[in-house]
Amino acid sequence: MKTSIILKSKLLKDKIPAFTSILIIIILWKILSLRIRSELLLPPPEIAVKRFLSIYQTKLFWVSIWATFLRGMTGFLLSCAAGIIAGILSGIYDFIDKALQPFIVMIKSTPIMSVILLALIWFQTENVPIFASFLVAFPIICANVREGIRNIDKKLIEMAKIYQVQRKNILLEIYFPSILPFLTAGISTAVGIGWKVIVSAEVLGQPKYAIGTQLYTSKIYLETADVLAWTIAAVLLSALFEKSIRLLERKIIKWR
Amino acid sequence: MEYKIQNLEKSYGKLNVFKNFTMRIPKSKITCILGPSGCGKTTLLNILSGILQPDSGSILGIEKQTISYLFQEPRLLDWKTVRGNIEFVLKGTHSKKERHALASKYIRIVGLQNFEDYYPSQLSGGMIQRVAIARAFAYPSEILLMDEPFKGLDIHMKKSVMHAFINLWEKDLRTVLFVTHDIEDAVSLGDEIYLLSSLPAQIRKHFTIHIPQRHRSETLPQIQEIIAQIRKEFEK
Repeated sequence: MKTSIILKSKLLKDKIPAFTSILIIIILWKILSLRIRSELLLPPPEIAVKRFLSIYQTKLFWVSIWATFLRGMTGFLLSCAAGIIAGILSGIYDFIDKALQPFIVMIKSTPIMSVILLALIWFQTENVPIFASFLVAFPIICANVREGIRNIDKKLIEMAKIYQVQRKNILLEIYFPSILPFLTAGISTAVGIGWKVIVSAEVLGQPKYAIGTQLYTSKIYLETADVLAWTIAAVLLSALFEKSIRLLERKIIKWR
Repeated sequence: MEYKIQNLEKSYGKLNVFKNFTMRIPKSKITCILGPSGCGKTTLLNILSGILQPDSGSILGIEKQTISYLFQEPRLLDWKTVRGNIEFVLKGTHSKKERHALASKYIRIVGLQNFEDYYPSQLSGGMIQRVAIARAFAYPSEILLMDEPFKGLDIHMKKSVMHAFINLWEKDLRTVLFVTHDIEDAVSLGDEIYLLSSLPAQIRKHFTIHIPQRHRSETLPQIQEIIAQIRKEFEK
């Protein structure tokens, strides 16, 4: 009983800094909006929240969020699958590693807007955000998995071989857990950037239902409060996703 | 009943580690190889375990044997518990039930029954090495190779790890080949002690101790005598 109370108060204590900084941001926002005194340039926070709460009750909100979420998930799963395979191969085979390098450098250095614009020319608008987020996330995941493979403790493999552990078990119980922390680190970096790219691509490509489309429409009608409200939605979506990945990570990697 | 290493040759480039090296390893005894660092001790273990191939020579009786290996480092999997680490090496050869029973038995003998669900990061250095020892014994090998498994442990931990080792060994009298540079470790465990020369390695001297490990102590005259002789030999 007592420990659980101590635990709770400790948890609360951990959260105090974060709450303080959020509070400061909201206060600054309020002060700025009072100074500027223009709802067009910067509506006060309570108006943005009010707009968010009213948008949140519409069907359009959920349809748009769902559509953006699906695009994000698709891009995420594709880049994970490809990144894991490419990362494993380039971690093991030097040739593949070197052969992949030019592509990765090219993808990394191309401005993301060029990618989106080119993709808009080549593909259906629905798929452009997926493509763009894939190109951003794939190299990150690939590089992380590769690092994981290179970091595997050779001595553990040697130990397993002396004890004649089967290949299957070496893969599943030494290789896989060794890569896992690298993979989850890569994924959480990749999804952070991934959501931003998805929404940017949606702003430019304007699929029928999307957070990005709504952002753009609000901007056209000079509804600054709506722009902010949709932004809040995008932030929440990304934060929730990140949080669930962290939870999953903690569940799987419990030996640390 | 013994294994025999015959005319072993191994060199790294121009460095001759073993040249015409021959020695016997009696079964069901602890054979200790004592020598300064860099005298080819680890190379010998690696050849016996099949990690390294000798340039020539033969090792009679060992090829088809199963081997356990206690390394300088424990080499446990950080993501597995004490129990998981022991069961890991039994996966190919034992059913789930047998693995569980074997792991429980050896965890008990090394005195870690209250820690079987702990991860290595939650244990002390001595406890971790005890897990490695339990793993080596739980694995049904013919031979146990040990490469300075007591290195880096403080005196107190070393005592507990050695005690755990002797406890286990007395129960199944496995053939052990133990390499070390520590004279006290050698006389605490070795039934046969071989002193190795510098490279290319040759056997300089051979001692046999008949006192059971459990009753040995550095205060016994016979042990003191052997320690003195080994020191003298090393000073030459």
